[in-house]
Amino acid sequence: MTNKTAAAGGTKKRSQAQEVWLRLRKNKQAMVGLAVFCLIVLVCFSAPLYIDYDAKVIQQNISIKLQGPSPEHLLGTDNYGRDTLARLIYGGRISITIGIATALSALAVGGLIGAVAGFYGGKLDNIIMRIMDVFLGLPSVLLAIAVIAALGSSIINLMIAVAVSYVPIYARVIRSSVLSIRSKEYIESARAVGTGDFRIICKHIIPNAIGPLIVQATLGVGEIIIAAAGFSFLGLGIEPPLPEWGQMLSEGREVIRNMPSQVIYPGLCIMITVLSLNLLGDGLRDALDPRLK
Amino acid sequence: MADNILEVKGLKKYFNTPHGLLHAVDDVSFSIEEGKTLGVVGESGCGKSTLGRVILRLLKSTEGEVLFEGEDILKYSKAEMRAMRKSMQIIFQDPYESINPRMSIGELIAEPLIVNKICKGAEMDKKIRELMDTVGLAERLINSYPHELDGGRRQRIGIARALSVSPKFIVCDEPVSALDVSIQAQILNLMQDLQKERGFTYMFISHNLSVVKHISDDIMVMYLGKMVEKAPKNELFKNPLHPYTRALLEAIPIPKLSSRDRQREILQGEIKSPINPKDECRFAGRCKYASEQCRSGAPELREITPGHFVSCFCADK
Repeated sequence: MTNKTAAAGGTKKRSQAQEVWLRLRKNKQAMVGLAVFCLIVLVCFSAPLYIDYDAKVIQQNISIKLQGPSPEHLLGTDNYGRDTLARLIYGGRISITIGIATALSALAVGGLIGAVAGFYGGKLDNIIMRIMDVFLGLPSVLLAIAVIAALGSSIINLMIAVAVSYVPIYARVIRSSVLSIRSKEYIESARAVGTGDFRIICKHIIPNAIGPLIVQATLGVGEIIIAAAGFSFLGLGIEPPLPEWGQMLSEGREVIRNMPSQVIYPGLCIMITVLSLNLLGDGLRDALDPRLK
Repeated sequence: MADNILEVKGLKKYFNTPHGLLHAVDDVSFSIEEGKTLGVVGESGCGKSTLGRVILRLLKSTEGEVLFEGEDILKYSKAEMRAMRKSMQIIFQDPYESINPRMSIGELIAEPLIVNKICKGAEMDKKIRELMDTVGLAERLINSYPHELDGGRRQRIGIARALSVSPKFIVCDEPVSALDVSIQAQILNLMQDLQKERGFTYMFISHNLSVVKHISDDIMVMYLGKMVEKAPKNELFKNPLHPYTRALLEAIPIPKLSSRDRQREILQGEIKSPINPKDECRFAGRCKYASEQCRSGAPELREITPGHFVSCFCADK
């Protein structure tokens, strides 16, 4: 029998992850996004190996403030005489961590809430979603200010504040996709052969709902980096002298007339990171759908 | 006379809608003998599919009993019912909707084997290949995904899934109506061969009378949630008693030149709403024989000749 299979030249067995990777590799834009994002992560997170944090990122040196590019300071120095490039690289560590950690926690909480609401439906769904609506109704900036005012200003609290305002959005997205999948005939077909709730959620609902989930997550990281940058721009969360892209934007604003580069560089960093993640997210969505080969 | 494998008594399924109670299946009683095929016909929305799903407890019944080999499965607990599903299976109507697009053919057929703990490992692999062979799927397709296959092959997956647990009774919910005519015949023949080999009992739901005539032993006609007539196949086609059955049979085209000017009894009027129906014969509004009696109460199901049931006041006139 095995010989016959080999002779028939049947397709090899591959796991879903392998399939997705194969399809993702064919998508040039997604691969560019992935490469750029990996590069940014690599550069930022290996920074302690080649940049002296205290000397270059924290130590102020007013005598060399607001210099243009030079061999010692490739992108010049800021208003306090700190190396802009070093601050950008260290800032990326914080910004990207905030983005990914916040997106993941918001997704986990929102996803769980949305999946429960969508799967069980009825009154439970109604109660949960009305509470989410209340959260959606509050402006996210006000919510963040309230959270930070209550908990104090720190990176963790900033992440909580941003996550809280993203939870209802993820809950909605995931609820609606679970809702549409729950009523599909293949769920009924799985029940008919005796499949239990747990296996239905893991094997049927999640794989089919995961497309919008992953896209939301990758797009979310970008959005959250921007949101966190916005909050630190407002002075919520990141305390100077910690470098963070939004914080740097905010500080650069003071010297925007004489040194616009102080605003342009962090802005570019945010833009490139978000763009690379969006490209990757789009590619992943396509790759996750077996119908689009 | 063989034993009845399935007996349905006074089965009702009402849905709550914003406009009132929708009587999808209303007081239906029948039985199926082991190894036989019961065809269920009726127009769209008459409750055929709902009936099939209530019998398998994919939908909760409102009232009534479903006796499978003498035991009322509607009273079973969740765990008992899951074990019971090995004996009763369903083949779905639309093979494009009823299989998970993210699972390969092998995984789809493996699912019932895994959840019912029938076999695993190499034995399972062998069993999957056997099943694919039985339903006529080439072995090389085992790692393909459903979207790579045509409707007929997808329906074969559905059949393989149903067969995998070696059931005794299978509800076939319009298994061929979504397929091309050429493929319909293949699937029907496959199902008949399987029945001959393994002695399955089928409840075959369809709106296509010629398909039902081909495959059934008994035929049951439904109208607006009610069973209006049930008889052995040939008896029903030769001697239809209910005006609705007659109209259905008249609607089958006869491809002969001589029958071009044939006078046909064509149904007038619209099908009534199944929401909060009045206590009268459901068909009264479209029936040209309808009398005062028909409008004052619903007719009971009567056995006119042995095996021939009809619910109509004027059946024996």
